[in-house]
Amino acid sequence: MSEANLHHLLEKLELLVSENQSLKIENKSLRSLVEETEPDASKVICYNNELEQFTYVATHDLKTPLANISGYLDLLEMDLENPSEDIKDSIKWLKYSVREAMNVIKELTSALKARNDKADLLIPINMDNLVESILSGMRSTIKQKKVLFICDFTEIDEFPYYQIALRSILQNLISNAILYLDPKKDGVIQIHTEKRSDDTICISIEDNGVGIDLEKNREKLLGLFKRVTNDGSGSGIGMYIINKLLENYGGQLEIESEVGIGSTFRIILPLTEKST
Amino acid sequence: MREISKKIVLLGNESVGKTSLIKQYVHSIFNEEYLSTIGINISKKSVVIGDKTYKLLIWDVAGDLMNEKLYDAYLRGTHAFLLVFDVTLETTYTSIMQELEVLNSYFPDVNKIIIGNKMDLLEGDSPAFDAKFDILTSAKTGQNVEGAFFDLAKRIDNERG
Repeated sequence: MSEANLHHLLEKLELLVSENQSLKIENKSLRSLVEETEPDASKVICYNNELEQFTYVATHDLKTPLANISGYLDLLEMDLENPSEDIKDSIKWLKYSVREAMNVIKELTSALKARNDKADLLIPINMDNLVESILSGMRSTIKQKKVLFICDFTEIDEFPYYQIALRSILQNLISNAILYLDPKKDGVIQIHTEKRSDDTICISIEDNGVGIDLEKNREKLLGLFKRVTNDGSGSGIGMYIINKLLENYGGQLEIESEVGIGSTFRIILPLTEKST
Repeated sequence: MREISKKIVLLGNESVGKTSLIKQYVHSIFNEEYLSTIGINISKKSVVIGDKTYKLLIWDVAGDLMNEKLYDAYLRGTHAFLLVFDVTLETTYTSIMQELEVLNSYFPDVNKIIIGNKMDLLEGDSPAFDAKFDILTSAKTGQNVEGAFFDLAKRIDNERG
């Protein structure tokens, strides 16, 4: 081997050693980054238990004040002599809202009990009843904003899914649709279901609101505490929750939107053999 | 057999029982609790007349929504209207009679049936006030509900010839 070749090989070796060292350094920093961002399994279990405990406490502690409100509403109703129709109506809706809140707590409690067997939570969803219950809870906002809701579940009105998850998904999407209506137009929100040929069900929530520039905001839209507007409306949690629920319970979200025209959010759910 | 879709629209004041009529007709259920309808809900039911099957798409329009803006934007293409009043409340009858005039100018050739609902609350055979109607029904007991919708479907079928 000539001296020149040997020199060349040495240079190569030095280069490889230095590359190896820098790779080791990069590897080390990547490891620490992974450790920082992904807590170990025991930490995840610990967080999960804490969250579960929190949900138990929250649901349990909410029952008492709600029962109190319900009791006082009954007393108020008995004590009122010749109440006006408006007052009667308000009491009726307050009672309805308390009952709905209690139902949500019941659903949450059964969700916790059945956490090890998700199949227990798979029940036939009646879209008419579910949407009616969600909209009734938003009655005063709907009246105040004069929103026209058109609900069409004639193609498929019953199918099995996780009620607590779907209620939360729909509630978030509907309240977003109301929140981002265009004040210059008569607000119209259309909700309908459709059976697709690929064994999925599509629930669409279509509004004629302000719309979203999806090219700019698609990533932001599903992020936690991210808002697509700077007007202070919205918490930046709703869309994140929807996305997480669909990830956990199975489903996808499709979004179509045009600024000044409106948005359509489509929830695509798997259609199991139990579906009608 | 191919189904022929027909758009049916129920109109009338709040709490006359439009939603209850539809629930009784489509699902055979009646709920004592009154929840006023929000917006428009669409249900469906198939009716067989002779060799034809009609898919009735039944639009339940909230009582507080009756106005010309709505008719223009959403009720075009309606094949029949069911105008519902409460047999115990004359004001609800007066109201649908006024609405009938408006509808006749917007939809002159469309079938319109006048239904007096809550007949189970009547003491006699007819309302205590003067009223012209096509049929009396009770969403609560189900009396004449099927008949009212069937009658409507037959009218639509007769039009087709």
